[in-house]
Amino acid sequence: MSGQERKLDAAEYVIGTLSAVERTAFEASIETDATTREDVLFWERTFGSLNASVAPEVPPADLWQRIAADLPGAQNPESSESDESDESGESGEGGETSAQGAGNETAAVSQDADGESSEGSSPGLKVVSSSAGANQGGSTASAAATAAMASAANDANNLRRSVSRWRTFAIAASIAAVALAGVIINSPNNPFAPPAEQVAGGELGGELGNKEYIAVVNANGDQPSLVINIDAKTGNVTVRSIGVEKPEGKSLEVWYVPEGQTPISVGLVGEGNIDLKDIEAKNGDLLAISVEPPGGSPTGVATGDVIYTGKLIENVNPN
Amino acid sequence: MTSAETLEGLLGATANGDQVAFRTLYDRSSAKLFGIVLRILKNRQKAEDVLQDVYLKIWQKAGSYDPVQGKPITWMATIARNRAIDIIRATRPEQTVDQPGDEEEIFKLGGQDAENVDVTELESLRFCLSEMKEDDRNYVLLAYYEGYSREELAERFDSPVGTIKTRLRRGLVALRSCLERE
Repeated sequence: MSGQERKLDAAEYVIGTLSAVERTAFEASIETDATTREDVLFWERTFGSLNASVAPEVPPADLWQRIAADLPGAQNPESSESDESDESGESGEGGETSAQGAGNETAAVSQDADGESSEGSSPGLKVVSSSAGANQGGSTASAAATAAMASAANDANNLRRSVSRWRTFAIAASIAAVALAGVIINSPNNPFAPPAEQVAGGELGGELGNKEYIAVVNANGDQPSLVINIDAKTGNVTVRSIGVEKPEGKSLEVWYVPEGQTPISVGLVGEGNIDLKDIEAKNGDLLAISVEPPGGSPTGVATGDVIYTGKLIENVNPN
Repeated sequence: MTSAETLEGLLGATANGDQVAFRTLYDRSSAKLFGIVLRILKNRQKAEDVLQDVYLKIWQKAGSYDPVQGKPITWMATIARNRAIDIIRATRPEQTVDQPGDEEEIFKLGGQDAENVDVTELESLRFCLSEMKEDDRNYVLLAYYEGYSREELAERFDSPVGTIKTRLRRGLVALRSCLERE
């Protein structure tokens, strides 16, 4: 295998696109080849930053018990654990509290999003978003992300180079949480939403109304910014943000662009609801976001720069 | 924050067999890791099984953590992703996918603090992703976030698997040379 091939295998290994057989073969070469190991580490560090945009999910409480049961000395964990917590006062509690605290924080933030999305009181819709770089929760989290990144950019060159992009990130951080949090799909005329009995039955199937769509929404000529999943079956819209920039004193208007047709305004980012009830989603359609005067385009067509576009791709059901 | 309270400190204590530290490490990192594997596996039962394996591996390998591997959360997330990818590559397409209704529970906004994200590389990566051809970028992001295989990308983008592989690799070459310039 050439060095170049192996470098590419390292990248594909990290993003996960090698087949099972290729993965196994490649893992053997990680063990034996220092250069390959370096390449893998390079990609792991690089792509690791994207993990920030994956929404956390608290695992079920009993999962810890399953793990603890496999630890050494699991037959008498009580004695060792109670000794430890006596010693450090409330240390066991402390662990609980911190988990609890994180949970509360999660709840608090998602309540905001819920507040946004429930304005339209669409039944069965859940709009959620998560974003990269510790950027939800307003300026505090934003400042924390800023501090983290600033300390990371300790190399002066690196810092200088990042300043312009940096600013974008900081702005992104403050609004990413609300970006598109108001997407609402109204029932019952919502073509994304399935007939009620299908919701109840919960069957995965190939029917038109059961499709899932995904769009990677990119800032034009700039960063990829949002990954949007639209589940036609449940009406769930999931938005993950890698960073969304909203210019000051402007509104961001969301347009649905059926392939080859005129864009339809479906709402403003973070201002009221984004209404997709009259939209029939299909492959190749676009979601676009333009910069408009406050309150949105006065003319019904985009008047400002289109800053984000993403093509809808039908998500194939793995079943 | 004392060193014992950082993930790195907890990892160090875990390496010395401190189960209380390991429990705290679990409390502080499991939601992030569960989110990552759930996103890839799209099945809660499988994600729970994977997470169990992952934490046992973290317990065993804590002593081998090296900062060159990224922040502790990145190192742990890598273990989690690798395990999840191993499982889906071995089992798709026969796997059971949770009813999409579960998504309501799956995606929540998370309170995030600096220890649970590793933004060290994010600036350069975002810039370099933006330099990629849009299709190539989409392949990379969908593979990383959603665990898409080449075959699934091929199906979704209606292209032959060979073409997907070529473009994926072309994109990764471009991404790497951009990251090295940055």
